[in-house]
Amino acid sequence: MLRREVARLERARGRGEGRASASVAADVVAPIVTEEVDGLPVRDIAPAPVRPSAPSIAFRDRRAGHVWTEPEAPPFGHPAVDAATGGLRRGVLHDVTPAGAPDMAAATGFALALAGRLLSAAGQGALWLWVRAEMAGREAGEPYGPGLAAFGLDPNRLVAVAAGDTANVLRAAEEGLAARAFAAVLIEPFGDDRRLDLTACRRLSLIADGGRTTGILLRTSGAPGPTSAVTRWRVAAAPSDGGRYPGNPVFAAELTRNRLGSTGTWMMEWRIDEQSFRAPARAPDILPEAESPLAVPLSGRLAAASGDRPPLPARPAGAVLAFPASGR
Amino acid sequence: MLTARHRSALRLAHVDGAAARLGLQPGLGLADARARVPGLDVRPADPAADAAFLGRLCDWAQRFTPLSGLGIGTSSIDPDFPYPEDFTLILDIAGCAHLFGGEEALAADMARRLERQGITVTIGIASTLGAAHALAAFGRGGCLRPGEERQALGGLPVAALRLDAATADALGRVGLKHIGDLVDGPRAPLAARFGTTPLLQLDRALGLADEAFSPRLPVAPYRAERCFFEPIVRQEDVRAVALSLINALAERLEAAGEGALRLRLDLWRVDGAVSHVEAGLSRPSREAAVMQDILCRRLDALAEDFDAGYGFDCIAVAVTEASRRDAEALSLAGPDAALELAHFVDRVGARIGRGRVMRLQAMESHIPERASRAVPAHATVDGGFPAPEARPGEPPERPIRLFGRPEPVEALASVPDGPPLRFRWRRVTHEVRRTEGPERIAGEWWRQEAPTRDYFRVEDAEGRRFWMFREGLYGVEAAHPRWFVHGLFA
Repeated sequence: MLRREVARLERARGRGEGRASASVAADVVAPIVTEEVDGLPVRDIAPAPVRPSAPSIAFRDRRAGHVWTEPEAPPFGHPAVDAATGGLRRGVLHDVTPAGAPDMAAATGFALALAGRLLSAAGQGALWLWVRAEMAGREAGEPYGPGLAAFGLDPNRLVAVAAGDTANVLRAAEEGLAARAFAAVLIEPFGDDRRLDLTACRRLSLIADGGRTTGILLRTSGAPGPTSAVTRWRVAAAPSDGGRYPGNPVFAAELTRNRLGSTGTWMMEWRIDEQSFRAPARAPDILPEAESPLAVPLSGRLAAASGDRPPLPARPAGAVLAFPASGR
Repeated sequence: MLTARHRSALRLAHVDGAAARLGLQPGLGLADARARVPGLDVRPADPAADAAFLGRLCDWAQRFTPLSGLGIGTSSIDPDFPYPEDFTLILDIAGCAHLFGGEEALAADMARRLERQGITVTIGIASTLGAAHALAAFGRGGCLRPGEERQALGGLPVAALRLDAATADALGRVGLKHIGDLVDGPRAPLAARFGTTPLLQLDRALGLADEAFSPRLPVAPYRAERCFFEPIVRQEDVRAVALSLINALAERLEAAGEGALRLRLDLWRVDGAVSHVEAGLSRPSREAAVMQDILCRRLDALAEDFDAGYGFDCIAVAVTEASRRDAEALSLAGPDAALELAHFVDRVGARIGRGRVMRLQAMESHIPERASRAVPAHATVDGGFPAPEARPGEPPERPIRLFGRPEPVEALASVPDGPPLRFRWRRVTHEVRRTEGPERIAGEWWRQEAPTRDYFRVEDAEGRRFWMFREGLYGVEAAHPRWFVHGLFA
């Protein structure tokens, strides 16, 4: 309880700092954000003072004209993660980075899973936004409708923006966070870009803070830069729990930064039918050597064995051949 | 003077005043002209540049009236040599002249402004298009009151009726050289010999027959403009003026019960250049704030290559496309998701381009890359994906990310149709631990002959999941089928 309280105070102070820097940024960069943040016009705020923390997190949302309290944080569904984080905080910015370059798909999947949690919490008809740099789409693949549907996210409710450069990614992301249309905003810039600095990150946090939209910053490429996000996840792929066949997605997720709780590393399995995380049923071990297809003697039953679920009886196979990338 | 090539000989296309005084005329061969007057300054004619210039001038003239168009035809004598072209602008100033203090004042203002740009014009004003054209192209310009046409045009050559060169020539040969000769002559023999065209053109010039003309730019249903005594330069000022004009438009839209779908901001620079800034909305709107927002964002996006020069002296905002607002949108008391979405699409579209804000559309195809298509979000999406079906415990069958172009890999696989055992993608070798497949997808034979693909869902030792396929059946369609990574699973 005490830790919660400290975190809350810290957060309030963080807000004050963020606001100050954003007001500077709003003057230097083109003032895209002319809307009110926290009920005050951004430009009118004096750059220096750290405001005393508000009595509660509830504040007045003047645009809506009613008192707005912090939305409930939907749980992850993974008991250990929920204990450490207190659920997936809404109205803030989360940061997801891959552990290595080949883990970009796992990071994407984890970010999509977070979006899935947010969409489930927002209820029917909630829209979601995926802003990506064009190059990121080329490098890591474009969002694929049938695949998103198979992952449990409704592609009919997706608005996908392909921006030419980081500046436009940030612009569209800020618009998306400020608009009240989206339950989740995925922001995917490409590569290392100096424009994606702490100031830009704070602007995103701040706008997310004012609205009811949650931002998920997905850095599929480039080094993890500075962040002002509430949580930062470092995600790697982990062997699935499917036995002989690839199973539900499993992530080795490391929470490297958490402003509202403790950090840790967990194996998290995404249950598509429940749209929820859980701890994998059994320890994620690799297949025993004997089961690996390569370990089977070539003269025996091999290969075309794999088949589809339910497993087909193995057929006698031919030889193992190598296929070069450039055919003849 | 300018020349153009005609039947492998250069002939004069346009002559300036000095050359005309020396007796040189369009149509004369360049060699003849040089023989008569040595030391001519000759340039080749560039009809495309002329047309573009005339187009810009036509846009510029919109500051006087929303109805401005280009003249058609030629004042050439030789039907094979269409020079000099008809450099005529047609402005319909009905109902506009009083804003400038009457027809003569308008003409004087226009001539003065054009002269400052280095353009010499003759302005003819009349109640019919034909009469005004004849006055400007063949007469000395001026302003005719209704009913004065007969007298004023009488002394002009018949070619002034916008007849083709052959007809004008034929009329001249029988002694009908001036319009006055046609007006009083008997009509029946004339029609029998020369067709109805000369008489029709005559009637049009005299106001006895109607004539329509099509303006260059579509006429905007709503338009507001403001001109300044002193040109304005700063972008903030331009924006402020645009905002107040939009306010005025919003009131008129409100009164008419319509909403704007496309907006156009026209800026007249002092030196005569006109720039247009266009912005679109995905839902008809008449709220001034929304229209201002969209237009300002478009203006900001263009700010980098925006040249104010010596400033703008006239600014107009036009609603180029309007439609009735549906009652559903009007009845909304609070913000709703669809409206918020429309505003988001407009705002981002105005800033980074409307084609970059997309929605996914399901397509009727079993070829994976054709099964989903991104369409601009402001267009309506008709093909929706079926709702995600929850199958307990089942892993996904399709990847979350798909490469636009499948990426070739080096693979080690068993033949004839086994899964990959090891593959090398982007310089990293992956040991395959779990596979599922094949899922055989044949090419669409009605499009083109494409090899069969056998898709496998593959997981490597680190737990990364891929969607791979072998192109072609081993030994049947391809001797050495290639392997590709087509997508990535989470």
